[in-house]
Amino acid sequence: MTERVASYPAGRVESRRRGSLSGWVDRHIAFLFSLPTGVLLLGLVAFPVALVLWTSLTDWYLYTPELRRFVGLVNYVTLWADPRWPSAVWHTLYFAGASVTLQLILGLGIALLFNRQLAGRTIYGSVLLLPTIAMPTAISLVWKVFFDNTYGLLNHALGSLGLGPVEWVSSPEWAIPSLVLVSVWQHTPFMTLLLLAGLQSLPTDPYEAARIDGASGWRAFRHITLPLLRAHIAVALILRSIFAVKEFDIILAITGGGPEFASETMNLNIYLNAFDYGYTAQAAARGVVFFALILAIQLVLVRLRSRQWSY
Amino acid sequence: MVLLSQATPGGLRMRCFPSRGTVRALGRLFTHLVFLAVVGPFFFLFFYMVWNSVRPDFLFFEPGVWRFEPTLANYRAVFSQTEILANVKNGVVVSGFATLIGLASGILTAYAIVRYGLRRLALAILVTRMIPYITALIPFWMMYRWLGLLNTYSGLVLAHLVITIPFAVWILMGFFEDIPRELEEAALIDGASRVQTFWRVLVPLVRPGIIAASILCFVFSWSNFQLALVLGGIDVNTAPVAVYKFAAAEGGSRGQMMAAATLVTIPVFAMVLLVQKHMAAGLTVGGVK
Repeated sequence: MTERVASYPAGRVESRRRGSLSGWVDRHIAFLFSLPTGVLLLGLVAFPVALVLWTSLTDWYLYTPELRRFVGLVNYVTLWADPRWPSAVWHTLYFAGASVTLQLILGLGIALLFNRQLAGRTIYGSVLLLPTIAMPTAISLVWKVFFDNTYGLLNHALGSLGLGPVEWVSSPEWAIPSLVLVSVWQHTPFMTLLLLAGLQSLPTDPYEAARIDGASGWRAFRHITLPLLRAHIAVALILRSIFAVKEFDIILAITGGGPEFASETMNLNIYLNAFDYGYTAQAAARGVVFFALILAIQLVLVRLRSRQWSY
Repeated sequence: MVLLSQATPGGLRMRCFPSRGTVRALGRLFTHLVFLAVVGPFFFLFFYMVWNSVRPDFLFFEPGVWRFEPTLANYRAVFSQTEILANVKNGVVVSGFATLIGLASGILTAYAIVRYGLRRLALAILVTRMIPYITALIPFWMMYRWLGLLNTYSGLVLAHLVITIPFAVWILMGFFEDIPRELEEAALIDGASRVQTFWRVLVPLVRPGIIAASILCFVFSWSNFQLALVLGGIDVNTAPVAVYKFAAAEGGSRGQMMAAATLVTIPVFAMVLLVQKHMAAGLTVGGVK
């Protein structure tokens, strides 16, 4: 993305006003124009990050703030002693891994299907956009109704196929798969849009060559489309992984992390520790670990981007 | 069928049945059916939501029944018994101001980045999107408690700038890149100052970008749940928090849930479809958050 910034060099033609205020403004325009955003982001991002790092090194318990002391890295060790944290890490990876994999498979399938000329294709595209832009908590309301064990549409549909009722969000083993289902529904269209953009940017020559050589269909997909699309797939995968790891809204609204913490992810665990239980310092340390995980995923993305487009 | 193919211009050639045109039409129809089947599940939820918001509650307990008995009782109950209208208003105020400030600040920065090649600044703005909200919310909450900003409009607007500024900058950068430098140089040679050039020449040219960026900023700020959940409060709760309360309550009225969900979802759809072609770019920026 950063390569977009490669721009035309500064000021070949200079403003003619010098000495006046507007001349001064003109000469410092790059600085002045970046100032509001710079100040806001320093205050809203840099300072909070420093504060959360410092807090994570204290023993701050919200309800006894006067006892706050510097304790070093203790929180980063003790957080692993809470059995809910390792399972929250596992739940996060399980949820993110399962939903992103399914989103990729489905998204690629739909993108291949949509990659053709058809009158009114934009209308289908618009409809496909809806889950991505709808308010997640509102979607969660509808899914909660779908998931109802007795009167929900899902069990009703299963029943009419002769399959037994599933205890969707009320059983520990089905809680995460249910959330994965919601996530797949919500984000597969995003995957489709990213991959469709990739498909439409592919050159046509290799396909013509392949047709002349008698290769088509599956073989063309396997040996031309997939290799050409690899960079797009990698980027889409990582973008979606970061989203999925951070997922909060639908999990809190649909399962609340339950039953019995069976669907509690890192994000939810930190939220509860910080704002329900008042373990401010513990939550800060967990928040930093969580940030580090996302940073690691992002680093992979940067690596991929730097050697992207090299084929 | 044969007649049809003959009637087409240049259709004097007699074709054996079925004609090539018919096959193509059937193929198109089939393709449309496949597209519909794919898109159907994604659309169904919204249909179900709207449809059940205007049906009486008891029909939820007969999931196989698709009888339609229109009623506005759910909407009436939602309006009279819940805070949703106040919360929608709060959401509009918070997202509106966050969009306005984010855009004003973002358009200047986007121009500076593109015109002066400030790659590092662009990257720094991108990095801010990587910090998960929950990690930032802990220090935000602490700061806000000291400053008395919890449960205030200004506090929530300030926090939402974290969403709107990067969006505005990255979307508008793309629009500034498309403007030829000659336009700017011509204005400068004619004696305009850089500020005048920016305001009178460039801003009008990127107006489509401003519209797209505003709508996207507004929508993403509007849907954001976590910031308002932690930093908001009884006075400034936004729409997602109001909707969440429906989800958290056990055994609430299903019809009212659907009515509330419809109220906060459908107006947004109308807005986004106006700027659909910029959506992909916007979502990718969101993806790097």
